[in-house]
Amino acid sequence: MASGLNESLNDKLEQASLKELMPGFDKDLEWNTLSKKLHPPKVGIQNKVSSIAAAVLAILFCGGGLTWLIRQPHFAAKDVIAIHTDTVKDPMHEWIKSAVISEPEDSIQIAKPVEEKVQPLKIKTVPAPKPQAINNDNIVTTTQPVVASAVQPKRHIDKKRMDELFEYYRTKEFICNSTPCPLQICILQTIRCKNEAPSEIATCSTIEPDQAGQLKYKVNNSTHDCNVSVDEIRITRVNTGETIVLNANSKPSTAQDLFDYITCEKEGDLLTGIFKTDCNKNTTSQNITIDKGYGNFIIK
Amino acid sequence: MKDEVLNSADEQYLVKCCQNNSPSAQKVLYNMHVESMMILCLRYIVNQEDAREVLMDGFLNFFKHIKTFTYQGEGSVKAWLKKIVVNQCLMHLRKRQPFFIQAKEFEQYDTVGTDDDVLGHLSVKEIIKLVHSLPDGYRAVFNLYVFEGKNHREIGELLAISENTSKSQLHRARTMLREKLLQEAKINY
Repeated sequence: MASGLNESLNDKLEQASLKELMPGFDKDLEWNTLSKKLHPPKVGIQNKVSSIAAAVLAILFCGGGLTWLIRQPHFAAKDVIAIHTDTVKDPMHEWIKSAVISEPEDSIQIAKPVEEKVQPLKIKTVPAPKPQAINNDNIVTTTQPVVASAVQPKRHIDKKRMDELFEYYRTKEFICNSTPCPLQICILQTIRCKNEAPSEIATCSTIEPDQAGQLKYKVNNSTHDCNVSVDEIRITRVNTGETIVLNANSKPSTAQDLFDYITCEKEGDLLTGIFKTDCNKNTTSQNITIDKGYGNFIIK
Repeated sequence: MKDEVLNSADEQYLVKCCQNNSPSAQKVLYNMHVESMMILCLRYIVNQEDAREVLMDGFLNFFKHIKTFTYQGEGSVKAWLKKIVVNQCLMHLRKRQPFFIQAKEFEQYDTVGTDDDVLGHLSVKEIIKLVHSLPDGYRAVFNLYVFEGKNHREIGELLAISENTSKSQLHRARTMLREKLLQEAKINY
């Protein structure tokens, strides 16, 4: 067969619509099946192990609690009427929230006004159970659970100290949003100080299309034995809510990779991820690339 | 955002991401090629359900082995994927016995007719229907020769048959197609 005809036949087949030939073919359904085969969910053994561990812990906790109750002097003499438990709210949660939000907005230095929002996203609270036993004489006895008494909960770093140790810092370079949709970039950092519980802080910046701004993050400004690490960076398309989450295990780039680029530790271009839809939720996937061009960083 | 056609740099980037096992990049590549690869499968396999399964296995192999792929410019991804899917189709056909009708070794089929030209005037649906009417072995050789542009030596290597068998299968496929076309022409007339 002449190669010309071969090519024209191939072109004809390339341009053919699959819907005509196979109307029942569902691309997305097929992809879902393929995706499951490519990335099987890693559960199974892990789930079993964790449920067994949870069951063992529950038994130990109940057994320990019961043993403790039996050993109480009043227990043998009088019956327990009721046991009430309560959870104490962690005051650091409220404090960190207020500390972060109180950052003055007028100190933003950007080429064009960029709306900045700072929100704490994940603050770990430590529940402190406070079981109480009420005996027949209406005397309330506050008790400590066996497990909790074994481990002393660490205190969170306080606000005054936080202000001394850390300050907000801005990326040296301007980050330009050359996509047609507003993007919110949140940098989640964990602050760890010796003998204190770690605290997490999220610093979010919203960049409108064709605008540029400097992203904010926390830095340690002293030589004290505290350090701050970038655990997660979230790039959210504001219109659709679709988010690219970069962490230590994300691919093609990790949170630290992106952080190194925007803080000029590393040079070059970086693909951070792909949005599955465009601004109007149409299924046109788009790469989000941080490109070091024209002297600034460009998100495209 | 404007819908932009991926350029070779983007394609290379996608390949790189797929090599890092990125599901989003895999989906983009899948969506880019799934339709043409399904049509390719339908040329080799008559049963649509079988064709779907073969395509699925083809893509699985493609993504599993993409780490070994070296990007060689625009079109290289598609060419590689096509090769994998064609091999998957042939593997499927091999499972169905008997695959080939044995050729008489003394027969010579060097003369290649130009009757295939008539295919150029048919619609894709008609071409697929016509190709489906061939037995598995004829269809495989016909597809490899006419659509994939392989020569008889390459077809022989791919299907583990002699060059002469490949020639005879093609000759018989063509004769059969010619008869079918004549038959249809008579019916329409």
